[in-house]
Amino acid sequence: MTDHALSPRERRLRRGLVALAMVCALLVLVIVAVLVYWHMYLLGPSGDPFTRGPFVTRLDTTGATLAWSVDGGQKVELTASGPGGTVAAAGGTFTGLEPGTRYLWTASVGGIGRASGSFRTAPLDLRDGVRFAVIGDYGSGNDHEWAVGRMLAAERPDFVTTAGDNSYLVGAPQVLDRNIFEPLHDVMLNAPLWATEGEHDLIYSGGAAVTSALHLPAPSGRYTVRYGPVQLVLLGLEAGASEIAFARRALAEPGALVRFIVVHRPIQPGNPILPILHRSGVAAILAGHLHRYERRMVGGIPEFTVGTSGEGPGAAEFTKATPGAAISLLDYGALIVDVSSSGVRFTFVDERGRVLDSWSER
Amino acid sequence: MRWPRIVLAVLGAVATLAALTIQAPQVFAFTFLPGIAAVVVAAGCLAADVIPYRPAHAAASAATIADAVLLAVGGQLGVPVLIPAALLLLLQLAPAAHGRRSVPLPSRHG
Repeated sequence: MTDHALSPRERRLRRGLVALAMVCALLVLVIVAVLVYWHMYLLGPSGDPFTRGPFVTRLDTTGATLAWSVDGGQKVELTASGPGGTVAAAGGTFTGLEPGTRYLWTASVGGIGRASGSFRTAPLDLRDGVRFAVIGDYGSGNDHEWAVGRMLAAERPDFVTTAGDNSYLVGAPQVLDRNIFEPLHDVMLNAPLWATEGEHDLIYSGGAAVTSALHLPAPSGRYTVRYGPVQLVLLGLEAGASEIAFARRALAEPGALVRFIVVHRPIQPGNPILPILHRSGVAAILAGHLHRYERRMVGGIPEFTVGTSGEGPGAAEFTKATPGAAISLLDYGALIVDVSSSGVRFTFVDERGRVLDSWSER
Repeated sequence: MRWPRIVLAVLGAVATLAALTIQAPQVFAFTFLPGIAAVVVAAGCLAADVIPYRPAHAAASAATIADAVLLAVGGQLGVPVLIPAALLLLLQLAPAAHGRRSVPLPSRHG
């Protein structure tokens, strides 16, 4: 049977069917082309498998540890590259690293690099200096905390210490991502966050959630940590009798060249801990609690209150300037501490990157 | 309706010639476009083979659609493009050859 065997009506029907089939094929091709283009060039990358981190939790002269949470317990391969080549982590821990060296780390999931950062192992001495940052009263997840977090990441501190109140209103596990890990994500890729704890952390299960989430070495924010020649003695909420005994023991540990006290509530003149700190040559007390930035001398020791890293000033009657403070500000920001063989330099940088206070000690 | 099959044969010839003379990946431009065009024309050809229904022609047209897709994208998937290009040409000749064999030869004695 050929075209000629068809009636005129059948021929018209046939031509219509042919045209329809070709138009349908064209439409299918267009749809496929659009889908392919969308998938290849418009669709974003697949989502971040990490629900938290990775973030640096421990850093010393020859090792580093990272922690993370990942979707579905997928396997994470962690490597670090430095001058000596590439090393693989075992259980999130790198060992056998070179002191005072910056390493690039990469966390891969399913063969794809999903997170990267870098850390600098603690140096053996102060020839190349140590830079760290101090924040306090920050964990509110607001724009100011995010701004301080971005500024901190750009400053590239070797580590960050916090003067407490890491999460508002309470340090409950459900809000720690919003209040700590997300705003400080960029800086925590590169520097451990060694936190002490304030009232807002301790009000929820005695601070256990913050301690666990940040992998802190001891509960309630009371512990010591060494970063090469620098020692931090973190006391927790305040310098009470048990904290004084703890500080006395910690400050007697040999080896540190420069020591700092980190405590939530500022130490007031007349506190019996002050002579101990003075005898031990403590370089500075780093505190929070008061939602101001302040610098003052207490018992012959410089004390910095860094309480404006996120939460911001409360009612005026609770945020009064401390009498005798050399400087007292309400600006959001963080304190950058540069420790070198020639002394210690303290710089308060606000959320907009402006230096609002600078002070040196030899 | 013969023009769609003639168009398909021309597309197959162009693609075959390109596959023989141009190296990958430059040849993919000369196989992708004929492949896309062949998909559209083969769809119309298949419709034409349904009214009236001609099984051999329809089968060749259906195979042409699949082959045209392979011609369009196969090169980038590692398929040697000469195979779908030559197949596109042969599939247009196959129904004619099948029809010639099916038609009884006229008797000398009438």
